[in-house]
Amino acid sequence: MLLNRPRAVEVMERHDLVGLIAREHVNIYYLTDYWDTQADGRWPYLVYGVLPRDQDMPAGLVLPTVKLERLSVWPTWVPNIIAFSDYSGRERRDDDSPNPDQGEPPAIAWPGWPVREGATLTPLEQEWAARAAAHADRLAATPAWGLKRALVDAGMTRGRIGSDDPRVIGWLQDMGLPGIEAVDATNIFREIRMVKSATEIETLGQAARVNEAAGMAAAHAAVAGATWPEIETVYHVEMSLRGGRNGHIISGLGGLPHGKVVPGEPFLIDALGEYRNYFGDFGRTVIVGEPSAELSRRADAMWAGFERACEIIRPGLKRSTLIAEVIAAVQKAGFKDFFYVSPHSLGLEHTDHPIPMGPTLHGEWNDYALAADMVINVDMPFFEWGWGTMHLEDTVVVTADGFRPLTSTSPALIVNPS
Amino acid sequence: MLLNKPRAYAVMDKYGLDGLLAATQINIYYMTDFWGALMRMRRSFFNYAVLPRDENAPAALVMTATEAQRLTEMPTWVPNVVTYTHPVHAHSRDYDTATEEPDAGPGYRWPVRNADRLPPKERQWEAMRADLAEKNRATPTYALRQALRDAGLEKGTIGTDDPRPVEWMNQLGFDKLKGVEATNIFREIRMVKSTDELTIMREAARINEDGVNAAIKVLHVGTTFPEIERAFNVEVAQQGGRAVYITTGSGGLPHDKVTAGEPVMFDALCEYRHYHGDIGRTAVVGEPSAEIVLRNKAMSVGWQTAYETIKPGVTGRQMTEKVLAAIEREGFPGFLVATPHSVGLEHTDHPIPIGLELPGSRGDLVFEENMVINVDLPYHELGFGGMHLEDVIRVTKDGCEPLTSMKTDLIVIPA
Repeated sequence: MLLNRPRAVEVMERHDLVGLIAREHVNIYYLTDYWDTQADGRWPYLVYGVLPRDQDMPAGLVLPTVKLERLSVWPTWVPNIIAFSDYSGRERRDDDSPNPDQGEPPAIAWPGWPVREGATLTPLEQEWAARAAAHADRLAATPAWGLKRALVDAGMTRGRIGSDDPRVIGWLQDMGLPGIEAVDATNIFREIRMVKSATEIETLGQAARVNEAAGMAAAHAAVAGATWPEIETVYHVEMSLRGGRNGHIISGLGGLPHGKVVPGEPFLIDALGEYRNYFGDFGRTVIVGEPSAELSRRADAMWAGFERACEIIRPGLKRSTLIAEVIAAVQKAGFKDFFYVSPHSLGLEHTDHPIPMGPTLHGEWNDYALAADMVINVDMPFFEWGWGTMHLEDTVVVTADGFRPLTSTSPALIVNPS
Repeated sequence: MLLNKPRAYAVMDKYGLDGLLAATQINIYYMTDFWGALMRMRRSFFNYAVLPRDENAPAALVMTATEAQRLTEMPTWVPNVVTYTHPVHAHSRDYDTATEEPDAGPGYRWPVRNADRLPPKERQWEAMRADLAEKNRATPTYALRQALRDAGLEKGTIGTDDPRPVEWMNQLGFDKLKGVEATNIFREIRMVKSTDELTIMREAARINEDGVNAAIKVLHVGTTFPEIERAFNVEVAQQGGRAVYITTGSGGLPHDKVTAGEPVMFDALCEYRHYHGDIGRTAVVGEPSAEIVLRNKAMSVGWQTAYETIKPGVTGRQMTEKVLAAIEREGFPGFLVATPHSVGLEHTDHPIPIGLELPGSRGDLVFEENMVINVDLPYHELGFGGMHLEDVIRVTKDGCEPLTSMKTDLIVIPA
């Protein structure tokens, strides 16, 4: 189970919520372990996850009936699966303006795919047929009506409900649940997710390894004259070969200053790739040819900064303290111009902790303290126009008394022969 | 420019909108051509796009000043780029948000060495930084407020794909600004493609078809799904795309591996520059039965029927009825799904019901010139196997033009 349920309950109590509705795909996945092709195709509002605070009530997953088979590939722990009638163009309803006060309209029938008469079904096919049969006579009319059922089943018919898309709560109020109140839970989900479950830490470890290996392959492909698309392709292919997804690799935000790799000019790689929808994030400095004394000194200084981070990372450490200590260590080691460190929680989002939204400003509230089982990246980029760019970024999991690295913490500088 | 601007204006007029506000990534990209690193990180509410209905008012892109360099890699046509600073350190002063705007932070100024000898790109980055520094706002929300003000949209009615930013604007003093749910309004605009979109989508379709062909090439008796997936993902990556998914049915392979004589369906989706390619094929390892051959031929006739039927003014329902009738006539009774869908930045790139809306409540899908359409012809039969055909076409003035090969023959691989 990806969900850190004790933490979810604790956070819901803190925000006085009776439950959560996930509409964003990452949160649906987090609550249910189920990843739908709808998520990949960017469809919103077809799949939902529901988590009541009361642990005796059933969590729910709403999905299209034609996707029931997919639960064999992405199984869920969620007990209450509600399938809605899939209407993707093949059927239509002509009573197109029903009155929601009259309750849920009848669902369009979908008995499941045909079964060959007399065939011996494989175990998987038996499972698919059983799922289709179990849901055929209780399909919800639409995703929204399926969501309403999930809320009723979970006892979430009154009170404050957190959702990453509050407009969904408005629909549910119109569908006969006037006693529920919407709370924007974008940052509440992040607050829960920032302390990882054991399954998440394992997945993030795999993501870190896959992403680092692909990032290193890309770094080693950087020969004199190489263009960024060439380096990028190596990264994408290596990610794919390792079961990850392409992700995103950059060398500064505007690309290589000369449009190609130039011997003697350092450049950064920052690789952000996904494995089972969790991010790996890794950064290093690359040089083609012999590094200058200045570059070596700077790389050593950045490494000293990371070592300082390793000395102090433990539960209770404030983010602002981590930033100040790392910058001081790098500068003390001789890299006076270094000024930027951005530690961030990593997970289903690149920045997997609450961040200001709307009129809210940065403040004490988001200077969080580290907690055991947070997965943290120490992000240390540096740019100097006319000289080059550098980066050092590794991933660690915070333990009860320190940390454990998820990346290999290999040397800060990658030297490719010219 | 990705945006189909004349259509956007026409659709805004249809719904009485004074402008559009995009908060979701695909719509920000569609309106500005810009896809930033924060968007890639899945971070919401850190980028916005604004398109005023008034053609003389400036469209805007809201982005972090830290990423400004990226505009040299991914330029925008939008005249008003409004940046905000991105503080690392906590900001402690309290503000009355109704009357005061907090000061923007100083932004990052990376050191410059040998300023007189910078390569052109770095000179451009430094100039861009200096120019934007004058206009930086404190946060994305305040930058959005500035963008709306510049566009003359402090009040009026704007369509938005997320209502929250409009509520924030109301809290920040734009109390006469009204938001209208526009998830499907954006889709209605996007479903008729611009020239630049068509160029990208041709490439997306080509890469995706090469990807599925590479996946089919690895088939043999005993192939597992991860092997198929890897072949697809690698081929797409090699060509500069991003694999989204390949399926052999929602639940995978019925035997957990490929078996001789059992048809396997492939449905593959990839992205190229964030636009989708989508294709379906059927393959069989070993000698196909006469029934499989007949069924595939019937589906091919169905596809051909779709191809000959689709033109501006025809409805999706009319097409579906003709296709299903043709497939049945060719000897495949019981074939039941023929779903046309627009494809683009979403897999289903046309308005579809959300919230309380019921299936069919938006009326039929009516084909228009320059829509890019997929016709989905999947079929599963437990105990038999899976089959699929799906190609991509562009609707032309009087018919359609294929973007994929339309090679609909059954793919047979020797056992």
